[in-house]
Amino acid sequence: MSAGAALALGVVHGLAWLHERRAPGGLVFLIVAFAVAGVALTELQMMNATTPAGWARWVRWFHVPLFFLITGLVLFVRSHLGTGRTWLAGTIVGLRCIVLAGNFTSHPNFNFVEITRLRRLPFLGQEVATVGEAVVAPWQWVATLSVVLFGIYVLDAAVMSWWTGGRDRRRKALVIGCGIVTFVVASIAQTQLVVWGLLKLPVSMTPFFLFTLGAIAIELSRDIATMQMAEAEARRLRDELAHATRVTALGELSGSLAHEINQPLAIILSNAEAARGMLEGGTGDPDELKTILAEIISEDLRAGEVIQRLRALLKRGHARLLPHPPNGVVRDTINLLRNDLAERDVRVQTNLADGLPDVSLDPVQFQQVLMNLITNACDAMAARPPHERTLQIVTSGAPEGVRLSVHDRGCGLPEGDPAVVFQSFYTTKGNGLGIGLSISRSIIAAHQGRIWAERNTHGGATFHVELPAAALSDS
Amino acid sequence: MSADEKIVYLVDDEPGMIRALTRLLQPKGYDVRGFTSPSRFLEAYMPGEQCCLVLDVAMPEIDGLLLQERLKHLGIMVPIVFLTGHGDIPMTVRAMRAGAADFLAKPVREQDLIRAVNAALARAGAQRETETLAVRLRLLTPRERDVFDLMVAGRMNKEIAAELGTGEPNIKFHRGNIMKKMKVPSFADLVRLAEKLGIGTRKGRD
Repeated sequence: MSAGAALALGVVHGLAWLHERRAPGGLVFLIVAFAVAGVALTELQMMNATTPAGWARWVRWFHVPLFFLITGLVLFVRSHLGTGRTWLAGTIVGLRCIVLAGNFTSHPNFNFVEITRLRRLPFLGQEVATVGEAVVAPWQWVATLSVVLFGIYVLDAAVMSWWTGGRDRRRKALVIGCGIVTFVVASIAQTQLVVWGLLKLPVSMTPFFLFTLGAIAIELSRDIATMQMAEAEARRLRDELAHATRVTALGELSGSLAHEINQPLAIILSNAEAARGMLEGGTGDPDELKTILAEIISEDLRAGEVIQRLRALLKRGHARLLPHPPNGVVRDTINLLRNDLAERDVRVQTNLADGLPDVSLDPVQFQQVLMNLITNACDAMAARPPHERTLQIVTSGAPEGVRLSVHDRGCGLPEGDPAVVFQSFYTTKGNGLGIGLSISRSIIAAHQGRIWAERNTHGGATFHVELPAAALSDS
Repeated sequence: MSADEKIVYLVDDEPGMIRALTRLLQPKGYDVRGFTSPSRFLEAYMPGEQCCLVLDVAMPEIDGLLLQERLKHLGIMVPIVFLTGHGDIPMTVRAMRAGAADFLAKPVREQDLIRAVNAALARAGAQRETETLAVRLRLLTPRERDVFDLMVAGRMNKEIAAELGTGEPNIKFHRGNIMKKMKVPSFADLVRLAEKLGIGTRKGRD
């Protein structure tokens, strides 16, 4: 039954670990839980043994899960509390390795040289077997030493954690200190006493270990809960930021809109009031009134145009993909940025292939992507001396369309997977928002193309965009 | 305030706006002078006139708030009525703190504009009077200025003489000069004048 409980806990945490690989605690727990299950099974076999040889055989197998149990707990303490002396951990695992190796090279097992008789005694309402007359091996002190050191190690780690940390670390120290030290040390000590023949009881560690497993399980689930809360918080912040960005953009838009519309409205109102004043005062010269009315009409039309422009602007939310020669769009964009590039001392070398097919693109959106790539490249090269600030823009044929590449000689990409630069809110610039490349990627995706980044062999980065040829994507 | 001195300067980058406001204000007897840029206004502005400025906030060359600062820097104390297409609270606060006469949103109703312009012109008149009085005050010698301060604080000649360590006849002599230089017929007028310059109250609290 104990074995079953241990296995169930182990499987649950193992699944949690598979789900959330960043929490190494789950894997360690899996090892410990399976080890406890193994201990339980071998103990049961020992209790049911009928001959000294059978009992001794199961003692030998008992050492295998015990090794994993102690090693797993050592690892758990280190990973979870972050304290614990490395040399002590190494010594404990080393000693257990010696025990394990010696266990399978000596006869009948590590603990005993000879077992002559089993003792049968009642235990929890059943008659069970334990060691009766036996000769304890002279090297048994190695096993005892490892257990004593293990107790010291856990206690030391818990105390260190208690003294150095805040409330959370103190709680962890207490739970792990009590959960492991008390039960593990008590259970292993019991086993040692049984082996030394000082205690007439069967070897029964499992009930103690279940407490340990429980303590560890509580700790791990708290960790997972904390991690999930942190993730939810991060998601909420991201949403908020996106919302704030939208609101700001809307605020700016409505501000300029208010100005554009209020200006003609103000002119209309003042003209109309002036005309009314003239008519009331009887000073209204018909020509003057005609001029006023003409101005009112033209200002009214102007206000209408503002609304029209705004509607056109808002409508362009979707990409309107039409066949365009790619080189033309590239040249247009470079021309747009010419002043900016000159100001930043960046030279542009273009190498645009002839005979490229037209590609389906929304020129405004595609320009936005290209401008973003060029501006990023300029930012990346800002720290270089002016004569090294060279930007290369290349177009070439690709298997399914056209490839555009922007090479720079700047500070390059961050270490690791270069694709991180496309993540939202990822930025290497001090004042960057980290949305330029992520927007670029969604624009290119809407064009059925792809965009990726590469490190250059001689420093700097290259961004590639591949777009399908117009005829291919239309068919 | 005489009728020929209701000068209103209009500065707005849109000629249409200037034409409309001119049509509105001119028949009401204002001397309207419109400019499409702040620099043209500065070229045309004559110090010493009783005038106000109706100023657009959003202009390409210098915005209205910046012009307000420049004018202040140049010592041109013309009262300003701001007009804006989209004013927010910080903008209004900034303008009013810097001494704007009013802050109106476009489109502006005739009566609101005229009320604001009249208030600004009245302020300009008061300012001009204060300036004239301040010039007169600067004509006093340091000793006369001391006597003046104590007089308007309500001290008797004897007390003033004792405080300044001199005789009463001297004080009487200074009094006569002060009344002449400040161009006031009576002591009561002198106290009113001091109040306008903000002197009487200040000394009274000492």
